[in-house]
Amino acid sequence: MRSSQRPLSRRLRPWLVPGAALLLSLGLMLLPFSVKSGLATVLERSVFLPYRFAVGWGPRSLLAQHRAMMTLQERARGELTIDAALEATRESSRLRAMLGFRRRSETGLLPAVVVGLGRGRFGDLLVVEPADPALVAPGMVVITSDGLLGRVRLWDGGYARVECLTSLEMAVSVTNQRTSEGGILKWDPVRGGLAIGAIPSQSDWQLGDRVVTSGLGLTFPRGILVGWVRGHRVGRGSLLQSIEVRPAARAAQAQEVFLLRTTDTAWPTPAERSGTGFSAFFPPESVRFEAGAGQPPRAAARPEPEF
Amino acid sequence: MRALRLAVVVFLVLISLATWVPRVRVAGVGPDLFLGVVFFIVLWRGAAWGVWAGFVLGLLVGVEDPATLGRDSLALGLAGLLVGRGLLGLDRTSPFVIVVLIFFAAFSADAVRAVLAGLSDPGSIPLLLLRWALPGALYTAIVLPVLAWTAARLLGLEGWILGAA
Repeated sequence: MRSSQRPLSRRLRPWLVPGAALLLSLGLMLLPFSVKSGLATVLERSVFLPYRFAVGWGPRSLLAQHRAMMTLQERARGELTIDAALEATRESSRLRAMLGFRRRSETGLLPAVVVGLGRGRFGDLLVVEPADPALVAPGMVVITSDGLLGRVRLWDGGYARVECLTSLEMAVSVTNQRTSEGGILKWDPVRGGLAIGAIPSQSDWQLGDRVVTSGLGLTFPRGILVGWVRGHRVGRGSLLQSIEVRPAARAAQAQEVFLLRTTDTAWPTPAERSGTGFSAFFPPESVRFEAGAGQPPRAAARPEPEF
Repeated sequence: MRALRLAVVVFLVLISLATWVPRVRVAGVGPDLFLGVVFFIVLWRGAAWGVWAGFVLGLLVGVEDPATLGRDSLALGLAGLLVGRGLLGLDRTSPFVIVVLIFFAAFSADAVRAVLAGLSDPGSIPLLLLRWALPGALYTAIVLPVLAWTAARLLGLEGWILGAA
């Protein structure tokens, strides 16, 4: 009996040490997200602290300094266009006042500097340092001057991790600004691009159409530019097509981003909504949008605000 | 001293991943430099060291996105084990053996990532393998030997490639 066990134990011995590492990896994967998040924070502030400071997580790193310089340069360029943007905003306010329109929501922009890029093999993730950490919360929408970039997935001390559109977990309700037809935009990891799936093949999506957020789902405010239609794919014998979208903002090129703070100031107050049922909780334009199943009448469509 | 050298190598790899590697991606596919670190640790110190190095490097990737914590550890650890077992009985001084092993190791690492990423939609896993794992492994098998050869020449080490002697 003993002689038959010895060869087996000797054969297993070389596998024990590597096997322990692999089992530990599997165990880590099965942990709940909150535990993983805490563990990552501990590791990042202990074992991996030198790398964090050296390679781009820390604000004193060479990469962060370089990015900060580039940001200053971009800011200087941006200031040239601020006057024109202010004038357009004033004009928009005047027109809104003349037509009796109210803003659906007010948004504030919280600037942040990109200090690190995710090193995962699938999808994009950014590490950003916001100007005012006290205002950051998970789920905040992140944009660049070009368009929608993603949302804050994790908030850790002075840094926020931004889950970009090119991420497996992201899904955005979007609409075609020209036709107001809607759909769900997701990253297609197989083709490596953004796509809106399950669109009826007779729908009117043309090359170059602007794709903006629809506001459905309450995660992303309406009207943020997501990208432009660059093609479509129809499955063999299928009545549905997939719309391919060229993203407006790219994670690899982002140097300065903005975190969107939304306050629905134009929604009804508690006094206004008392005793009037469903319609009191949603502004009239929102109710019309829901009733049209993502396709409001064209006559009601008006240009979306851009960022 | 060896630990310090390894820390420097990891530091350089991280610098590379943040600087030139994103610029040499082709259609989103880039070389897997972490796999290179694991590979050459296996050459130097054996499979057990390689697997644990893969585990730690995977954690380094995982702390950036805690939702995937453990995924890269498993992928790199398995790749280290594959290389360790694959080297048994093979001529490690042969460039052909090294390139083929790097290819299979890179493919296995990306295959593990693809399978774990595509669990919610199993039908997409073969496509993920074709789209990411196969070209990524090819790219890695081309870039890593070149980098390792260059490093061996600059450091004046024996053998045509790091750890091959």
